[in-house]
Amino acid sequence: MSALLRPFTIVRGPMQNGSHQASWRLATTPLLALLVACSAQVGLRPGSTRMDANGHPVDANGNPVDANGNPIASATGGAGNTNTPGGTGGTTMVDPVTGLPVPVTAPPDPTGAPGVGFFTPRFSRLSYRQWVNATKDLLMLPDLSGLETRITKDALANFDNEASKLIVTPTLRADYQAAAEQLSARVAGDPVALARLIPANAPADLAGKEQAFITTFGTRAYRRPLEASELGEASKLFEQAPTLMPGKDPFLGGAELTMQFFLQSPYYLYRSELSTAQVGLVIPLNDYEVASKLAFSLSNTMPDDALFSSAASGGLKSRDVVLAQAQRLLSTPAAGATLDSFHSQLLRLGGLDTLAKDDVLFPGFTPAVAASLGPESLAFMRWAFTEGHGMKDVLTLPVTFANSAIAGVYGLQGTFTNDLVKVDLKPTERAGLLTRLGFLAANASRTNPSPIRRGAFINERIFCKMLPPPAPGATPLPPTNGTETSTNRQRVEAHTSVCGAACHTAIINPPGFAFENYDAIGGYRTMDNGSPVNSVDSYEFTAGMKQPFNGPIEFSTFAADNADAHHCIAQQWMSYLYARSPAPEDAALRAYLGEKSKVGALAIKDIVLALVNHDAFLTRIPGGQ
Amino acid sequence: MTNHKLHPHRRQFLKGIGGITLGLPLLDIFTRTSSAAASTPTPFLAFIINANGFQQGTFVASDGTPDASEMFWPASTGPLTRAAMLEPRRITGGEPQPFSAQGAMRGTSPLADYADRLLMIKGGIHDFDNPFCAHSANDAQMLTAAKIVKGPGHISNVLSMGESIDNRIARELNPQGREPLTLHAGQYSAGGQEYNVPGFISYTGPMQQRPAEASPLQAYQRIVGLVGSPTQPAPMPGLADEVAARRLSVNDLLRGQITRLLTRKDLSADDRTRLQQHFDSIRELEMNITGALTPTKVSELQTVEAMLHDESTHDKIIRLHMDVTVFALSVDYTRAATLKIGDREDDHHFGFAGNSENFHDISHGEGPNPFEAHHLADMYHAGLFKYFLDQLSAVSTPTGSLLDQGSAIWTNQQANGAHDVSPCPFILAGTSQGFYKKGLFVEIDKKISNARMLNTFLTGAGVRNSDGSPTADFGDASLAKNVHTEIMA
Repeated sequence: MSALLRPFTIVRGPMQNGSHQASWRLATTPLLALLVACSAQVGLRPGSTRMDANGHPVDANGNPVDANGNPIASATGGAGNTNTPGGTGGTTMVDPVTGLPVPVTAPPDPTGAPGVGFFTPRFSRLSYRQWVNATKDLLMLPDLSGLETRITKDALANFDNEASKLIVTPTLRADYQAAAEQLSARVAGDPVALARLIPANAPADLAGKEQAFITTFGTRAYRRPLEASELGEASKLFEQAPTLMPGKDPFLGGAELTMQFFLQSPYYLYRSELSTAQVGLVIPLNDYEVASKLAFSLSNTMPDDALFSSAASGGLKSRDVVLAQAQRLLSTPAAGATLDSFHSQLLRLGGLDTLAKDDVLFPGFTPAVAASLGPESLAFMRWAFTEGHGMKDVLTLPVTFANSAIAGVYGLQGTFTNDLVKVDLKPTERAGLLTRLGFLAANASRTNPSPIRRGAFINERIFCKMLPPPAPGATPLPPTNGTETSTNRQRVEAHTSVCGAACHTAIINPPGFAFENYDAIGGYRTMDNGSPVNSVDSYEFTAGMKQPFNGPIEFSTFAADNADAHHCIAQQWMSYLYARSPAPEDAALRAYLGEKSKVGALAIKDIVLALVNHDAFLTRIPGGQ
Repeated sequence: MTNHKLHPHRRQFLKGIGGITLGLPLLDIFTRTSSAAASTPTPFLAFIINANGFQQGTFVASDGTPDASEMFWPASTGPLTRAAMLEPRRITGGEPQPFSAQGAMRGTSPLADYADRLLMIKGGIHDFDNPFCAHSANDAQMLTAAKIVKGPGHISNVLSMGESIDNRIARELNPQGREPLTLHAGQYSAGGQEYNVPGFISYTGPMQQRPAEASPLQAYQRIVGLVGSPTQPAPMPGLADEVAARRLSVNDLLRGQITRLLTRKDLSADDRTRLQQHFDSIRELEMNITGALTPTKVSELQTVEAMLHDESTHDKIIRLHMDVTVFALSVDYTRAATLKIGDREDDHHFGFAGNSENFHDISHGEGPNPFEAHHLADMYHAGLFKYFLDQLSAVSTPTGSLLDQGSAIWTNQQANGAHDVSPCPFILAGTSQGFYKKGLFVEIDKKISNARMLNTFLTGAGVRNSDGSPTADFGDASLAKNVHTEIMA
């Protein structure tokens, strides 16, 4: 458990209806009160007992209730007036932390018309990474024999697990089919591999062994127990083996056939949320659905044995158990890889290994340097996450991970090997993620830093600000020819003063100019083309308030103290963990987590744990979007 | 030139007429949505698409002389002849000289052998302003004639608000659910980021890009429905029967599962749509054919599989993609195909006069004598298009060569290296059974909407209104969509 989270452990009260629709009792801390208040504000569970910011029990509409959750008559009316199932009402509340209006969940129309609330896709197709990992785990294979390279990858603009964008095209369907056939044949043809999938206590006779295999494998493939009808149809297929797999041993042929089927089933290829038991306005996910959602969100693969066991025992109805399982998962290698995947996508680290720079200007920028750029940033982000650092630290700490390839770019002395090791950097030169080589070198041309790209990246990825498109007729910065006498900044200013000045001068260029102290490969510099580097400017960290800054260290410090950076990291994790685009109803939760992060009360890891232990993750609204 | 002689009818090839191949029982489950009778040859449309523009001149002097940067088109509009296409371009003493004798020709000269079967069209415009990344914006609208929007994230993520012409053709004329063939030869795969993306030209609908297949081997294997690794031989006919029977049994269960899910009343429209797509894709895959490309060609496919995005195999990949496309069209696997050469932009390196230059940099005027360099790149790409035409011409059908049944269009995401959106270049070969004029170079109004061109191409490919009249509904609602009769026979 993260040290920062420990004091805020959520204690769950008595169960109601055997679901997450339990009453809550306050742990002991203001954070929980705010967490609960935040949940109440988003109005997911009218009828349940929650606390307002002052510790008074309220329902999801903020209406006062007694200790049993019964409405107390008040001037604002009792619970269930407007947000009872079948109603049509809804109101606007204000987030206590941010003062922002928060849309309260409207009850879904009984006809199935769209409702407003925390939408969760019912069928989330496994992403490419999830399919690869889950298939290896399901079949208990160490690798997929390179077959994964033949699976069509998705073309997604945001995170790779955004459910609404993940479809099964005929092309992908062909890949799934081919993979299912080849992998099933491989396993069925390997006695050792097949033995791993058969329960040790399986009966020796064909019928008993068949049932044991189908039950065990099917449960793991569907990530839930098979229904009787599902067991029946799989058995029927199994028993067609003598006809469909002539000449094969009936058990081997049957196992191969059923594995083919399970691997192509929608219950395998999608993470589904099909429970229907409604409690109040929401439907709590059942234990197996929670297990799968935790596993795929945090480790990009199917549930492991511990999660299956917890689901089977009904343990995942407890928020404490959910939290404990999430914390356990985060310590696994699979979660580490998932962290890397998230950060790689967030920070656009893909392809840095092929980055090339001008050989004459940067003779030290070898392929080894390029190959280290992504791993360095990933190592730093993974370290910050696992060590319980917050976004403020990420943006300010003069720490990184260096090897023999990149140590020189940082000006580090000493002996290094190919392995990345944690090092301290000069605090006068380096502060946090934005002074790391990956960001700096990626957002630069072969010869010069690109303040425009650096500034756009910071606006979009660190502050989650949507930039308007370039002005009509905008042209790229003309390439240099080596004869210029101006500085890089002067050239950028001259170019952007003609076209798109309004946007560049105030929004894009200043964050980019802040990092003019770093050349095209990220090396620190004080001079540019014979003139002192000018990294002084001002930027509206807070809307309407221009804040002057002097150089990258000060900019990073202001960025770290700025709410947008904290709200943004909360939003990015929310999108990734919830496998969907940002939605208006996220505002209160995002703002709450962002504000707590800003004051140093939440590490990034805590944000993740809070998100997966929230109603938005563990429940869904009936019907659908 | 290899002569791939096919027998009576392309669709009959699938059914095993002439003993060429084996038809499987599953083939009969397909129904065509086309109104075309079984005995009628089926037109098709294939696009070969380059990036970075062609080396077109941007103005014409008052005396009619094109500016010195015009190196692409024949000297004059009107009837095309081989001799006219081989006429050297005008080069004055004051201009940079060609790198080689070949460079003194015109960009389209390598197509001279097809002069009497070509329709060259210079003109038309991509209708929507592209305040985003010009390459991505043009990719998004060139086959859609739809508005463009910036997608989330990087500036190069520009999305079309409409489906693309290949999708429309496939949706209406392919077997139900079968996608158009969408191929790509470049340095980046669909998972790339920022600028390093292949460039998306095929759209299944608004903001829904279709990733292109970079591997000609995988494209081929999907067409023939092979099971096995690149080194595993195709199943023999008897084995293929067994594979098909097993798939049918498995697919029956899968269809049942999805059908039951689709009957649930509590699914969102979005979930339902995705499940339906999955359901449709199962049907799509229920085909299996054997035989196709020669063992030598299959071996070549296997050889390049590990180097799909390598510059050293770029030329080979392009030609193999073309081979696979010709195969797909010859067996009536699809009525629409696209091959994108290069990526969002084309960063392939070309060697000219001792220099190795990035094509995109060249197109923006970098490097020594960039116009001449761009021109030679165009000639190289014209040679590739000729290769494609050679393969299409080599396939015999009862009504002439495969090229004559449909049409192949060589075009570019933009007019020139300056990102101009007009005049659009269309080099069209094959008359689509007499639909187009031929042996002609026409210059049309630069303001003619791309939607009009695409509606014309749709009609030529066989997409018609129910009464047989030309299609006039493709593209953004704000655009004129009537077919361009000037290019029709």
